[in-house]
Amino acid sequence: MMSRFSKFLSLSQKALPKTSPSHLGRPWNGAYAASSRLYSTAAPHSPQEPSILKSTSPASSAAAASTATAPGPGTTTMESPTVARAKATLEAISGTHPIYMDFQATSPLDYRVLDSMLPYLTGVYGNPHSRTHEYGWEAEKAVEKAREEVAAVIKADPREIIFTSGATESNNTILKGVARFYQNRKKHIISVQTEHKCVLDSLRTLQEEGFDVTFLPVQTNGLISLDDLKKAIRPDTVLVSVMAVNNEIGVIQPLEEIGKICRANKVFFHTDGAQGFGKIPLDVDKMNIDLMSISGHKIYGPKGVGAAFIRRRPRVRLSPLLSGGGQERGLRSGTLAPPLIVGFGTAARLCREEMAYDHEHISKLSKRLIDGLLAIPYTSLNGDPKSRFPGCVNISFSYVEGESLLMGLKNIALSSGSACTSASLEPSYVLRAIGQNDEDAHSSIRFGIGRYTTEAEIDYALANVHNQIEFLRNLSPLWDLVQEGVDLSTIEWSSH
Amino acid sequence: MASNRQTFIHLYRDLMKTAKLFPYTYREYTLRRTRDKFKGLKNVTDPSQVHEFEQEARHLLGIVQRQTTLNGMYNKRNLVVENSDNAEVNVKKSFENASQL
Repeated sequence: MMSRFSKFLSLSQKALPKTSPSHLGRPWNGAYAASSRLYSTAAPHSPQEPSILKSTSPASSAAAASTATAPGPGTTTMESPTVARAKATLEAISGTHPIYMDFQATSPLDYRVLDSMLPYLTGVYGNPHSRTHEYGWEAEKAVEKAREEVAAVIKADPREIIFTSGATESNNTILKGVARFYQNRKKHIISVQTEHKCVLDSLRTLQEEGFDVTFLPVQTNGLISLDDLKKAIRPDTVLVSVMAVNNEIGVIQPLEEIGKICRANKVFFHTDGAQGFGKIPLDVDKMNIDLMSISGHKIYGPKGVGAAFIRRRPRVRLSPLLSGGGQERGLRSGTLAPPLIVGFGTAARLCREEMAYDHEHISKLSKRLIDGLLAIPYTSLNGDPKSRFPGCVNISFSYVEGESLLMGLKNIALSSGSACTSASLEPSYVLRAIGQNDEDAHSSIRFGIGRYTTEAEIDYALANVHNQIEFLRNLSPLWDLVQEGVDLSTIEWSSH
Repeated sequence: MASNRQTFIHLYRDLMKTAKLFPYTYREYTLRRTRDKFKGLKNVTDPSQVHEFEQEARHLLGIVQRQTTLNGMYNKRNLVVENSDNAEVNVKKSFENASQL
């Protein structure tokens, strides 16, 4: 080591302009500073530093620049490139990747789904709409089989399923299509304030086209009031859109009751089932659902595929969004993607077969997580504690800033609010709709639990959250006030 | 029957051994799922159901063999909860498996 260092020093001294010999003490040069730790001569050099800084600053910056090609600030010794690369590889595979707890954003592809998709990404590449040859027939057969699997999950007829590019496209197709088809006679649509962004945005577009839209408020537990719905229905209401499972707080709306009210009033009932399909039992006949949006990548399937359920008896008509060759009953033109659809079908089948097993596993882990998190003082669970999907746990931590909490939990893949809104600094509109004040909305974290989550991951998350909350609260002067028993709302912050 | 029990023991052992080559997420899930499925096998008495179970288990074994190889070829990332001592060994084993095919 001694020889390597002296060799390096001699090499670098050839490259550098003449400067003072005490390179070891300079703080901006990482390699030097770190290697100086190996030598006890670092201390005597430090009093000389100020003079060195003043006199040789242009030369030292040149020194820093020319030694930038030396091994980076991370390494402490002079290693050969192969050793450095081997160390980097080892670091890369020795457990540094964060654990995944964001299952509402997306889910990993199940390996059984990938296995079913691979033949259609390699040998079976025909266009399923080619009627004249074997390539087309085998692709079409696979697509129809997938359609049956998807329909079986919600007990629908396969002819009522059309494949789209995802739940957002399904929501757009259904909302805009149904509204525009019946616009001559019916001009009113009812929805909820906590719907997904794509639903709210589609309805905003329809408002600009001349439709009346009522956004029902939610109670503090996240559920709508059925009386509000009954009062809001008018003779010219065409559609009611209520999502099955909320993607931010995980509450399950009373779908059967809503369906009954809608059927009694001859209004179409649409539900965005992206988070609920395959996770909670959904029966389109029992719940009187006329339209449903389904997403592929939330059920351990591929991204880029989804489906829309459009009832045939009694028939729901809609004007298509995409014009073209008339595929998918004329409602969604465009070539279908057999790999994605076959993957989607397999994912749906796995959900149907393992729904009870997964639900039990997720409930057990969810209870463990919620009990562990609510043990921290001044925390609360957002959303109804009973009517909820256990895999979506949204907790507010008071007197802690949300972004700093998330940044401290870098080893856990989490989200505050939904993926659509996490880019902006605005607090989530869903949390505001359930009556939370802005501070608590900012400090809410959503934990997602899925099929693959293990107890070890939950325990790791709990330990990290406990540590980070303790650390952040100890830093906060507001927390000191709270601990003294001061009610923060009574404080007059400014003397106006 | 004695021969059938042997078959299932071999199937279980093969599934568990191959699943250990998966990365963390799939590995933990497959081990847990297989354990629970075979525990449920004790309650199954109907011979046609037992036969169906065996067919499904063999099909799953094929999937797990193919997918462990595939996963070994691509992402080699280990999670923070993983025991880093074992991680290297598992990744190496997946590579060996891949070279045999």
